[in-house]
Amino acid sequence: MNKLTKVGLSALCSSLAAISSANAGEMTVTGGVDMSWVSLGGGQGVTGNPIGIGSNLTFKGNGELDNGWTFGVTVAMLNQDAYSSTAVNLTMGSFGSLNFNQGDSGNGIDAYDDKMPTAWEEPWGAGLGTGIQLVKGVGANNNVQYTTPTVFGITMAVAVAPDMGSADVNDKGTASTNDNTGKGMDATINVNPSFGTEILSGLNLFVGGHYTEMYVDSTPSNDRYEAVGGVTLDIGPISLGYASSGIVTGKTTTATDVDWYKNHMYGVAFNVNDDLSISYGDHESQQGFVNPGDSRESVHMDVQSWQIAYSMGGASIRYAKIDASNASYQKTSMYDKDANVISVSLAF
Amino acid sequence: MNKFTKLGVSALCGSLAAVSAANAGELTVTGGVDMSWVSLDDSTTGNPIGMGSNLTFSGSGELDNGWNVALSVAMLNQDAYSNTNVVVTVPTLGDIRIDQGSSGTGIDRMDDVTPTVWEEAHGAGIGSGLNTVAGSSGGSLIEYTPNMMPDGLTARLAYSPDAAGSNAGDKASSGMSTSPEGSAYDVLLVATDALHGMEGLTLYGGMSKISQDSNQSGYDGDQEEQSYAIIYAAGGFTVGYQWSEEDTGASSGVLEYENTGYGITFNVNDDLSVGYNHFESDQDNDTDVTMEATSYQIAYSVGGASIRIAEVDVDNSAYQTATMYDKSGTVLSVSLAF
Repeated sequence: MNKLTKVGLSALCSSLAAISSANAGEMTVTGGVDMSWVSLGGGQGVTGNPIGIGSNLTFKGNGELDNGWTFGVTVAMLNQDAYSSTAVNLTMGSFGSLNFNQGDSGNGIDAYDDKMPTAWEEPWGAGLGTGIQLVKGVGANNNVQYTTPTVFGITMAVAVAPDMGSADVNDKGTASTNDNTGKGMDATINVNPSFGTEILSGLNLFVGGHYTEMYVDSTPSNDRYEAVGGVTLDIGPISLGYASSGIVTGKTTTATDVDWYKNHMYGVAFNVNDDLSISYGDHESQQGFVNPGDSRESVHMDVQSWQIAYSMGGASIRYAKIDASNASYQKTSMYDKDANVISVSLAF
Repeated sequence: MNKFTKLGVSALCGSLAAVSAANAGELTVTGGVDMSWVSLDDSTTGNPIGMGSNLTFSGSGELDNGWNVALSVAMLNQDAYSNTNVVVTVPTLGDIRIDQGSSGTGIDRMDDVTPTVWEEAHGAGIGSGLNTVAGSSGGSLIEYTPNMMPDGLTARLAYSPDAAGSNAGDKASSGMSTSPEGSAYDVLLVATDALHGMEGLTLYGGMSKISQDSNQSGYDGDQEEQSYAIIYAAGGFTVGYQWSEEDTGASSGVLEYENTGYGITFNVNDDLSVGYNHFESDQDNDTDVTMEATSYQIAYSVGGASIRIAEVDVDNSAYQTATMYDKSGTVLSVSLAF
């Protein structure tokens, strides 16, 4: 418990400010709303009430320490005020930056789960539940990430989670689980080899890897590994991208356990003008089992989406046509799904 | 993960407002706290101190095409999510409100409009379990308020594709519900003196219809609600009377509710007001039950603070006739608004 905290309030500018000389910096709030109308088809089943509303609020603080290092704090809430994440970023001048992260998906290899260009959302994230498995690394766990400064277009990052699978805990708290997971580590490299040329200024190459330490006790298994590599290229109004990723679950004994996932994805987006953009994306994911017997052949899931996005000021209107085959890695016809999604968002 | 999102932030005034050219407008927060001390007459009070905090984040702005937009995200006690709504004002059409989780749309706007100085008799701290008209407000919905109506007449049309559907996030739908309820619509009309010419008189009328699956056991028709009210204000006095009815569409159990309420308030001066409110609800069941709630109230305001006292009596609360469901008590409340 802080004992000597000094807090001062000012109502200048009729807004939300709360600042005093004892505070590290300022706090701001941004937010918005996304409204959608979802129409499900194929084997999806009942749409129910097609209206979806997502509200989001993000509180941000930033400031500068006495030694010139700067920091930022982000506390984010998603739909219906559900807590999303807290992140603290410390920029240490030419030493790079440190990011302390809870509950977010923005660190480590998770930041590269699907970086293909789209007009709106990834094919699997635009309103049709697919159950697709993506690389996530330490992103879903309390973690710390160090990011180097960008030198010759190269940026590297290393993220560590001391205990994978543990719940997010408050300050002065710890969390432990009785599962078989230990620490996790991610390493990523992003390269922008423009060499000072205009045509290569939009080229990005990225690669990342992850492992989760697995303890061997009642459930024998190996460590879990994840990897991703890809390329994106922006040429004028056109953006292209291709990437592959894979997961080795480490499971070895039970025949019906999933042994691995292999994903391939690509996308192309075109900015018709400053307000209108269109895109097409495809994400294919293959699931394989420990013992691929007759009834456990590997399953290919394929998700495709055409999208259009139009913005006018702070409002955006988006449409997505989505088709998924073998959703949730199931082969029966009811898992061949499609959806039409219309979305309107407002940002404040 | 959004890829082409444009977001800008400025820290003008060193405060929490955040705006950029790509944003629809500014976001601000208001809120307050309500503190109460409840004393029950014939049952165990426990800790009488109650505290309600509320925060509302509001944004408004104008789009490039001249349409105005307004956003509200509200949290109630202990940061519990309450409601999100967006109102789009189209100059030649009116207001289109997309709403999630609120009770302030359609016929639910007039669940109880009888005058009070603080709260309704059934909502001032003594739990009553009263059933009031709610219409389509149970699920995410769209409400339209046309602006081409005659002066003094306000119409509101609300539609929910699935009144029993849960509140889904964006890019999601509610999915299958076990409830028999399907789509719903409400119509609400409010007439003031600019229409009928009698200063101080406001007339309310509303109806709602929720389609129900009559093949589902226990139901043989749609759920229908209607409500009417008359409110008259003259000098410091305001009096009002309201009647409402709900046909549940059930074939057994509770078939109908019929509610009547009235209230009178008097503003002693700009800060002090007193009131009396009474609400009565008849439940048509195998055994009919009448619940009654009565309350005397005083309210006093000093700047951003308000002090309220309510004496409340409830008979047959929750439509139960046992003696323990006859409740009464005194509620002291202090609120601060920011």
